[in-house]
Amino acid sequence: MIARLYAGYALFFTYKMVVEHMIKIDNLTYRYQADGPTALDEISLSFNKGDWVSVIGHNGSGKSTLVKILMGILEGYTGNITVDGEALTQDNIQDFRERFAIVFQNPDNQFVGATVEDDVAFGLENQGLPREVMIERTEKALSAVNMLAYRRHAPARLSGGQKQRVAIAGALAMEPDVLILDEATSMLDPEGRNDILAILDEIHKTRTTTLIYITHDLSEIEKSDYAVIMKDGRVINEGSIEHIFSDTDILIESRLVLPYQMQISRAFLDGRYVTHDELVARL
Amino acid sequence: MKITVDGLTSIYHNNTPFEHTALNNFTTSFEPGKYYAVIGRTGSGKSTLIQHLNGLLLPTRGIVQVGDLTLKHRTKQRIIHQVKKHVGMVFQFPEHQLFDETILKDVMFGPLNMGLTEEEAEARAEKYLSLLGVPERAFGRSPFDLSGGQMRKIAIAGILAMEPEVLIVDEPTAGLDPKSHIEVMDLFKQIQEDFNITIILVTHDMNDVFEYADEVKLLAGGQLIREGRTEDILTDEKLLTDHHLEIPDIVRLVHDLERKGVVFEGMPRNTDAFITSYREWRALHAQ
Ligand SMILES: Nc1ncnc2c1ncn2[C@@H]1O[C@H](COP(=O)(O)OP(=O)(O)OP(=O)(O)O)[C@@H](O)[C@H]1O
Ligand SMILES: Nc1ncnc2c1ncn2[C@@H]1O[C@H](COP(=O)(O)OP(=O)(O)OP(=O)(O)O)[C@@H](O)[C@H]1O
Ligand SMILES: [Mg+2]
Ligand SMILES: [Mg+2]
Repeated sequence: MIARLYAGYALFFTYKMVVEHMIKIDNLTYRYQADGPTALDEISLSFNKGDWVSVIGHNGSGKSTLVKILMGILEGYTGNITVDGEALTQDNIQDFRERFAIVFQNPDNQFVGATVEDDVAFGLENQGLPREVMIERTEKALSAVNMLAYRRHAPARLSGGQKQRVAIAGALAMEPDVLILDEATSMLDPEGRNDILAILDEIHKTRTTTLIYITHDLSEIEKSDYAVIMKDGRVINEGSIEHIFSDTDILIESRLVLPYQMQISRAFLDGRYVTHDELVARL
Repeated sequence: MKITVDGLTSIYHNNTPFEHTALNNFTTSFEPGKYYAVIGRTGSGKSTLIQHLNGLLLPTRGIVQVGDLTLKHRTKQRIIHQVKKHVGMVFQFPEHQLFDETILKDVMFGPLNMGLTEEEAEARAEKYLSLLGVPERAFGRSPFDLSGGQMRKIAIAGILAMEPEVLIVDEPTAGLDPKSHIEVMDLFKQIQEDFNITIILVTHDMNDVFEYADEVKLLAGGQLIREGRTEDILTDEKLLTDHHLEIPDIVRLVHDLERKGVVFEGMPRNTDAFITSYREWRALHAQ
């Protein structure tokens, strides 16, 4: 027992030493209007390089505001943000922005190109890549989301789920250091959603890209290394997925709903998180 | 108000190089007072179909009959305007639906446009905003200074305030937090029962379809593949899988338990009902 504990500690320290913070946020506070309410209220968080971090929380809890600040879209916050060990300032934010990619909540706010392929390539234009590489990356990203057949379509003339796929392709093509998805799968059909989760899985395995994944779907957070729950502009819980699921009161307080397996487990079993198959076996 | 779709073909950019047939010779009907779900994978034609039901799109061929109003290829704006008074629609991207300077004015717009007085329209707006949990202190704010989920609630309130006889909602819960999701779905059901209106829900969420809808229309490639009672279509695992749709959680659970010998009398339609059914089954098999 002691030996195991000791091994655990040793592992923990090695981990701490190796892992670097990709993003570190200290005391971040933001108001949309100077005299208005705080949309973010003294938030402190750090995201490890290569981690998949899920961000959840009720409507209006501050999720999109947080990522818009990281993207340099909103200015005038107080607090400190460090990216890859370097403090974020007005002067260097532009450089960092090229290493970040975001898929917005509403893909229509994102499209700039006249065709699907122009749109995906547009994001690459600032990266100074040779034309062949741009074409190659565009095609690769579009086929990853199954939209290559639509390359010459106008983004406006796509169905809702098709728009979301193209928006995701645009971010993937940039091969960013930090990939942010703000409810980017909300209108995908199950297959489309699984495709995207599988792509993210692949990216995650390389541990070179930090993933920030905003969602309202608790079943989607299972794959992440770390989750953050926001409420009224504050972080009210954070940690591993096991930790997040173990405090059901906080989940309920944040307007989340327990997955059906947990509701049933609470009625008939020990109330802990179980998979569908475990549930079938134990009922 | 009955809606009949007869031989509807819908071609985007007809007679251009971009021509795309989104619906092909589509025939179906929607009976008054029923709750319908329109399902099918991405690009199957769901949003296109429902936009024909309130005149937002007009048929390339065929007709859409809304009560005694007929929508055809060249139907006049005047008729379309009439149709819109009866058939309310919440778009897939509701931000596009918002435009006024305050939340309250935005929601009042529909009722005013239908000829209600200023006071009536305001009363309606307040009623539906509060049913959607929007606090009164927010009424004066701009609908654009809101989070994604908050905007969606305003768009929904704007359509509900018109009290349409047919309510069409396209992915209405995308972007809502799980609690709001349930609240909004319960509210639609409540309104359907109270006012005996028709609801047409477009969604990828098969749990919602199973819990709320009476009837289902399954689309694929711009055609109607199957229509019928929810309990028949959503328990057909093969049909759903063949069309790239999910099996409702509870259906999957009940079917898996049946294989273990745990068999219920009827099929529970949501998690709470499942818990009740299982409790009864256990009591019955306790000895
Ligand atoms: N442009 C804006 N002007 C003023 N206030 C805003 C603006 N955008 C958002 N807010 C407010 O800031 C708070 C946080 O909003 P934010 O968009 O970050 O929420 P969110 O967690 O992303 O919610 P959702 O799940 O609905 O997308 C909310 O109270 C919202 O009303
Ligand atoms: N404005 C348009 N111009 C041209 N083609 C369009 C337009 N809107 C949709 N389409 C095409 O018509 C087909 C049906 O689209 P529709 O929006 O009806 O799909 P949907 O079933 O609602 O899909 P989703 O679940 O992704 O919202 C798709 O192949 C789409 O690319
Ligand atoms: Mg948001
Ligand atoms: Mg659609």
